[in-house]
Amino acid sequence: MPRGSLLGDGLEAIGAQALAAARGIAEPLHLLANALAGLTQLGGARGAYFRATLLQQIYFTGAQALWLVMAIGFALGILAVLPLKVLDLGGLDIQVLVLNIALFHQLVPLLVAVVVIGRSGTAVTAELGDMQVSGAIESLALMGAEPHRFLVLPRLLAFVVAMLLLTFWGNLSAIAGAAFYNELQNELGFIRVFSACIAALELLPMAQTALMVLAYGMAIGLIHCGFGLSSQSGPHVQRNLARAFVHSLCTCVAITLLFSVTTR
Amino acid sequence: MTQVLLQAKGLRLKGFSNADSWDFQIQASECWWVTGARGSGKSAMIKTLLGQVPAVAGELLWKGQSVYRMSAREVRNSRPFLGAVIDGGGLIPAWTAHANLMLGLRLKELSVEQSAQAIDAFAAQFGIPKDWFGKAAAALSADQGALMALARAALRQPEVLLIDSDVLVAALLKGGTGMAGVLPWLLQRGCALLVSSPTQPDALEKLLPCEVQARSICMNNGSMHYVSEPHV
Repeated sequence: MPRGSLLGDGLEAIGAQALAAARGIAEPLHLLANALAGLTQLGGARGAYFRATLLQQIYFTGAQALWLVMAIGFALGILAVLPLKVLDLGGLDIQVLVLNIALFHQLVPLLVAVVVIGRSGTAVTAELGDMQVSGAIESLALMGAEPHRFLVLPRLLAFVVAMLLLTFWGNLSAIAGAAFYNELQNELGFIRVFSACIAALELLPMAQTALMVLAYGMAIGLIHCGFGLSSQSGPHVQRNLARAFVHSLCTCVAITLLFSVTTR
Repeated sequence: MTQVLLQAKGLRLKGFSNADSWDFQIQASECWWVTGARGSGKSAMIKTLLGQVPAVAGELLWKGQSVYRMSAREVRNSRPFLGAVIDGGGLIPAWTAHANLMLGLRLKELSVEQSAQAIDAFAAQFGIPKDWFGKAAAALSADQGALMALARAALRQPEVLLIDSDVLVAALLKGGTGMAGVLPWLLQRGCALLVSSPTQPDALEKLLPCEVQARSICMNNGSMHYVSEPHV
């Protein structure tokens, strides 16, 4: 196909897009495989650094965000039952159904993901970006510590653990919020709504949601670590912060859609 | 016979299409200055010798073993024999200087106590101010960061140390701390040094005691020119 012709240029553009898309998938998978390979090398000093980083990241991503997630979950619980009351659909069964489908398995996990992306994901991108720019990543490799295993693996696992913890906590808070609103309205009462919501939870949908949250954690970790490690300069780190935020948010929305459509 | 630690045979650097291939080797207790203008290929040479960037042609040997035929695990396991101080220092910015030094030693599988003792002894020997250790690496000045990077590399007691940091060379030439004694100390312990700098070799001689004779090479557009006699 001659270059410069309309068809030739079009094909070239499509090829370039396809290559970029393939790279976009292959690079995180390479990062994941390389990081997970580090699970076999957790003895000695490397193991000690792995455990310390893992706990530090779980504390920062999970424990320090508990209050924020609790407040958001509580507010979501109230906001979910409020329109039902306004529309005079405030029966216990309807409330439990709406909370179960819309909140526990979709909105709460997604909003927890937004909190984690905004608080911890961007911090990881900035941290790894700074390390890349200062040559610390290169130095680690020269000292025999594979950066993907040494830096990415504990952060990846911490994101997964923290996401699971925070989603559980967010859902509990949402139930509490909904029950509290009912108590305020002097209708169904706190204990009754709370018990009904807990009783409505089923093992299979909960396992599916846990799987979805696990996918969130992996995606957030890979995207933010990947953008951090690919930063070449200070201004590039700044640009990558926003790009990583948008990428991981879109990925989490896509994962939610995928799980919601295929499992329910 | 002295062992050849690092050897390049018919090497051609990546990114220098018109460059000649060159041979080079370094033995224990030797010091080589690599000089040349900015963009002449000094850093490319160091990165290639460190195995970070593959050469376009030729062979690179670490202690007689071809690096390009080693597995990734073998390369990683061979790392402790090579030390490097690169531009920017390479310290983890958010960690304290002390934690960075500890990391270097802990990755060599020294215990926490052994690492802390080695750092204390090194600091006392070369007069490193105590207050540097408690600062985050990002809070150190460029000179201090480069000197701490040298301390981290030296504490790991490599057999070959490659330095590609203009800031470090300038800081060592400026003096003011006892760190200038680190390079002679390393040579005395049998470590080979390869120091890249745009500074002329005559000026660099100040870094070594009079009795030590350094050799020098000059890089020009990816090609190497021996200023001193090469090894036969």
